[in-house]
Amino acid sequence: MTESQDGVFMALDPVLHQPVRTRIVAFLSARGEATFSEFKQALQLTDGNLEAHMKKLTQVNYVSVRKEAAGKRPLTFYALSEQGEKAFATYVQALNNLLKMEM
Amino acid sequence: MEQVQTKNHTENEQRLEDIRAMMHSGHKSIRLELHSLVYWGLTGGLLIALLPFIFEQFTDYWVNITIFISTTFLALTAVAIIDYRKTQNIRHRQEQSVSFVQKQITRIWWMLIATGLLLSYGMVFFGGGYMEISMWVFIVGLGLVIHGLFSPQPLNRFGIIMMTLAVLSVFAFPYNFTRWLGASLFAVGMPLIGYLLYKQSGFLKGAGISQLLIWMICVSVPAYAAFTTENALNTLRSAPPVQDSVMLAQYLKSTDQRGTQIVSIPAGSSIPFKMSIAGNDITDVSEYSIPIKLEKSIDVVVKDGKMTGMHRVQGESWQSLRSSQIFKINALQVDLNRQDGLQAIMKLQVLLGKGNND
Repeated sequence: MTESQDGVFMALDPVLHQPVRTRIVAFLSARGEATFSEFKQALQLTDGNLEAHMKKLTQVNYVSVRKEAAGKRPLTFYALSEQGEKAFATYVQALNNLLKMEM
Repeated sequence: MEQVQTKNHTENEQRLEDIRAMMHSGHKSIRLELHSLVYWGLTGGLLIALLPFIFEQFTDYWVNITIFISTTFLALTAVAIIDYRKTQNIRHRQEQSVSFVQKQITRIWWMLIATGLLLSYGMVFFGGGYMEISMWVFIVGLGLVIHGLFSPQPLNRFGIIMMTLAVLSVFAFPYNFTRWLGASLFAVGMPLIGYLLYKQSGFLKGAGISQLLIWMICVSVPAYAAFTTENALNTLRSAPPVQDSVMLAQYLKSTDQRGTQIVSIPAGSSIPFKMSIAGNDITDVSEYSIPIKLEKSIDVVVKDGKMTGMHRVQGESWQSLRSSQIFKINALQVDLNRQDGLQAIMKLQVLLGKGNND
């Protein structure tokens, strides 16, 4: 739990408070959209590991999925949903507040 | 207990550092493809190199203008489409996406090319001086659109309106109105956007047509008021005396030209258009004049033997010469043929009164 600027206590989002998922969402927040291969390259993860985290993020509607035909097989694009953007902003604020409190 | 707290603090710090690093990595996603540089470079180079040779094939000014506009527009639009598709295909083949920043940068690139094209076309038709204010309004509008591409603030809509007004002003508004519109867009419009964004953010939520319309009214009403006031003051300052006009022939015969008089030049009158030409390697043999015929009668105000610039074209109201005249050189070329020998040809267009959209 952490105190926000207006004094309201906020819990750290358990979905985002996981190192790999934090990095996935931060990457998407800056990039707008990314493919599976780009995540793999940026995060240096195995297919299975990455897939599990993406599944978790799509399940809570933080990440939206779009498929586009590209040659023989469709390409999957991941983007941060509006809900995901809000959750990420809240999470970053909560982390900052927590650090201030701990200092 | 203290050890656990320190561990949490370090972990959270590390988490924020990870976020910063990943966001930095996400932002560094811009890549200008090899083919983009080749396509745009070759097209620009070829257009500059080849267009003069195409112009040489046709002597008519308007044919050349049509070729210039259609060739540049079609070539650059085609390159934009081909470049975009090729970039998309390459990224898809590499299983990569086109990032948000890259998409916006591509849009900015297209807008810059479109700005260049519009300025080139405007120069052809109106010359640089006439477009000066419109150009600034357009560039500032473009700046707002660029901000809007990366901002949640609805800046791009205001930018698009400014760009549209800038283009309209060149084609449809009198120069003096454009001047006041430019002044109002900058001095009233931009602070008003700031006020609405920061003090009345609720008003701009969604920035729909009605909000933009209100903003446009707030900008155009002062501009129009200043324009009409200036016109009225100019007219008042050089107001023609309340008296009957004298015909040109009568005025020329009169020995007393003191005071203010209205001189009427009837339709069908022939007026000599005197020309004098000089250059580094040429000089005119003698002063010569081209007789031009008036299609409509014109009244001019003469004060102590000198024209004040106030004039009235038949069926129109009084206006100053500065606010209405436009000179356009529609052709300027040198020709050598058996019939006429060597000759220089110039086609000058003079627009007075309502011919200037006033």
